[in-house]
Amino acid sequence: MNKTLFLVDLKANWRVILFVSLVFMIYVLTSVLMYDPDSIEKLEQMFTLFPEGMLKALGFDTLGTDLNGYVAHYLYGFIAIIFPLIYIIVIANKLIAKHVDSGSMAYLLTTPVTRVKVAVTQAVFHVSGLILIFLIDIGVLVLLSSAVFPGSLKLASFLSLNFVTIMTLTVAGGIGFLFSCMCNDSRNSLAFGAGIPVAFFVFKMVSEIDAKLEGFKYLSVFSLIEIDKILADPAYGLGVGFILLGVSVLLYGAGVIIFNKKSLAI
Amino acid sequence: MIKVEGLYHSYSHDDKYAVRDASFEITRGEVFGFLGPSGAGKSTTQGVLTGLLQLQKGNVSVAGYDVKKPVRKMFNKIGVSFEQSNVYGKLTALENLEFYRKLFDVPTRDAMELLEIVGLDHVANQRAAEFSKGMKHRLTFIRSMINNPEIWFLDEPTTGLDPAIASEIKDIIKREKEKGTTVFLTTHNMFVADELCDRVGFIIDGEIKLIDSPRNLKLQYGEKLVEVDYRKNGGTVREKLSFIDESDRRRLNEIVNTGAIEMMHTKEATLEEIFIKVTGRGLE
Amino acid sequence: MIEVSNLTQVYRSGKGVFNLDFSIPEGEIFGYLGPNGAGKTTTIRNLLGFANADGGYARINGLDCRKDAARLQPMIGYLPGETAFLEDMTGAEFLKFMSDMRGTGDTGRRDSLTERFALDPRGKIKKMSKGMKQKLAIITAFMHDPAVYILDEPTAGLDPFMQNVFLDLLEEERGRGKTVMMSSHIFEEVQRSCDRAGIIREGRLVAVEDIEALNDAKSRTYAVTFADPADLGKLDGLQFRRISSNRVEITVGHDYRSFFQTLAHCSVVGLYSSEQSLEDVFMKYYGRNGGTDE
Repeated sequence: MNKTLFLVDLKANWRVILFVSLVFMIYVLTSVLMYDPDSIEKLEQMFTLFPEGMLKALGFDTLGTDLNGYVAHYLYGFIAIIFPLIYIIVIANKLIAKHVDSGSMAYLLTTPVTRVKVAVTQAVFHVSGLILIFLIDIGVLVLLSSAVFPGSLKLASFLSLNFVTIMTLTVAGGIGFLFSCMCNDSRNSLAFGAGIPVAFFVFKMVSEIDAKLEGFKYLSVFSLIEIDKILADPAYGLGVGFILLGVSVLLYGAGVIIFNKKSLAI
Repeated sequence: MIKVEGLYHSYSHDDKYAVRDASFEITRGEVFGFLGPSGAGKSTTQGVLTGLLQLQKGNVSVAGYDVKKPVRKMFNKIGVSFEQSNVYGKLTALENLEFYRKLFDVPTRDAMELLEIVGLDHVANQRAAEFSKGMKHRLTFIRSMINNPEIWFLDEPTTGLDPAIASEIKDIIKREKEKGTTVFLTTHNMFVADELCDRVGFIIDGEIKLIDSPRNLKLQYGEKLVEVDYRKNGGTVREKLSFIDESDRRRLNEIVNTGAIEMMHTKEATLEEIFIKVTGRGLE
Repeated sequence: MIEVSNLTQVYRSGKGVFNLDFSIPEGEIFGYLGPNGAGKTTTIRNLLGFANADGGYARINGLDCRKDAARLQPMIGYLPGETAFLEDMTGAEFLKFMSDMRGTGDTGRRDSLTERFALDPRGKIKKMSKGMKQKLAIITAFMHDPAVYILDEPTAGLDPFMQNVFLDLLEEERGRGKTVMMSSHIFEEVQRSCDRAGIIREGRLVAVEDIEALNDAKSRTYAVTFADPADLGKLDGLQFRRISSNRVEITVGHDYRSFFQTLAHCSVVGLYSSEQSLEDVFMKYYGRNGGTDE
């Protein structure tokens, strides 16, 4: 870890973090404020007017009747994945590949800071930004719901769900980071580093449209965000989360090692 | 071909002038070197002449057109190769030139032929994004001559190129000059300026301080010197003596007669020394 | 100080450097020349520990440039050929960033260099002219007072006045015992500031020239023009070569006395040190087939 580099990353990227957090927050606010225990039924009636496939794809198929279920289905089927995912793939490319592509990596490496330290700092920043986005938005969600519906949010199951979601995103981030470290230009880094995570996302969406396409869920890490199962059994979520954590560490670690070993054309 | 009278330009539209009361004239077939320190007003002047910057004050005519009201026809007659001018990375070298050709309504040169003269014909169908800096530079250079310009604006045409390619570029410029093309050249390389230019103008702090041929400048500013190393009391002493100064000549004679000369060489003023002499003050 | 031994790195295109061997002793300025794409940048990448060689090694101060890259960096001042700074920073922020990364606390040298090159570092780098960026790159390479400089076309974009400021700085650094490797396309610059110059072509070092010897030879040969062509008959005691009817090239050993005494009886109208230069020696290694484009 190098503090100087970390702060420069922060200065260069805080806008993206802020933007993603704010967009995410709009949905957090509406999700809590729209929750009305009495009207859930009405809402479900309204949804019967929509084609089922579309509702499924958007994660609104089973809204649940308590605050937990309602918020979880509203946010964690789509919103909580797509916006942080944008942050993850844009920044992954910027942290390593873009510096190599433009040549500015030469300046980072003509200092006593080793390649491993540079890469680890970038990886830590990558994950920190993601966690920051969730801290801000979960924080707002928890505060708001405890103000509006005191005692309604079951914290343990809710945090377990967030843990799994964040960890699926760090796996996606690890893939983006790995390709950022492997590729010598932004083009390839983005093609794979953004392409694969986006494909994960698309596969998850597709798998939920129709039972016939359900098999696609095995091609997506995001299918592991099994909302109802995790809410019912927070310990299960914790287990899944830790496995994903392990995978993420491997992916980021591989990125660091590859970057340390590779021949750079800068 | 180019006539500038009392040109003023201020980016802030006040009395902070980037160019102040500049006047000069460039005749057909002349290579005019526009020299000066960074930030002295070269790019500004060039910008006004090529219609990139709006003329604020003064009279400027380029190829017979008043740049106050630039017309399309004027751009048919000028060619511009600036360092920062971009090539389209997504297009191939050939496509870049073909695209550019269509912007003119005068007869243009064959793109392939142009690629050939700077040795880019073998990469004609490669995307410009894959080019090295030097290759992009050459592509910009030939692009600027596609419309057979009467006036050719060149900014650092040889910088970053290896000497062989640089000398080819210089030969192309010389050939175009023979054909009657007027060249407005800006460069920091005084050897290039000395070799190519009929006249050079020095701009310092927005004002044109001096315009003359490199040869006249060297005669005027350069004093012919001889540097002599000779043995004296066991060591070697170096003296710089002028051929013109009478006492220096006598001194040289004395040294010759001692027979102790180790080495001697004559020194001529270079355009670089003149640049520093002329502009050095301006920078302080 | 700098030691390159049998260094080989081949790219997929077949280009690269092959069995490169040279060393630069402490206190020497070594000019590194060659056509575009001949392998200069590849050599530099290896010296900075960016690239993985396929064979051989590059060492600075006895340390392996690749393995001990991070340990070597405080000793090296690097000026890249194509400068890419960190976007969005001002010049001052960038200099501070580099000082912080290097852990150099002293800002005195940085400030005096900034002043010397008359750079106003307050503006955004993105908006700087090429000359300003080059000054910023020079200050970055010199401000931590390294022992070794690796400079890729250091004067590109500088006006002649600033070129001189730079060459004076280089001369001072040599006086302080620094070792310099500098690539350049400008022969005059190399001949003026370097002790030796090497030329690389198609990945191989094809010639190394001692500049002092070259300058020495240069200053012993004179082109002399006479008003009266008959004067050529009086040159018997001298070693000369006829160029035209009234012009000769005279090579003087150490006997300047007889050189002048002979000429005193002639109608000399022009006397010039001959133009034997690095260009004459090296130009043959350039040419369209000399290098391949990167």
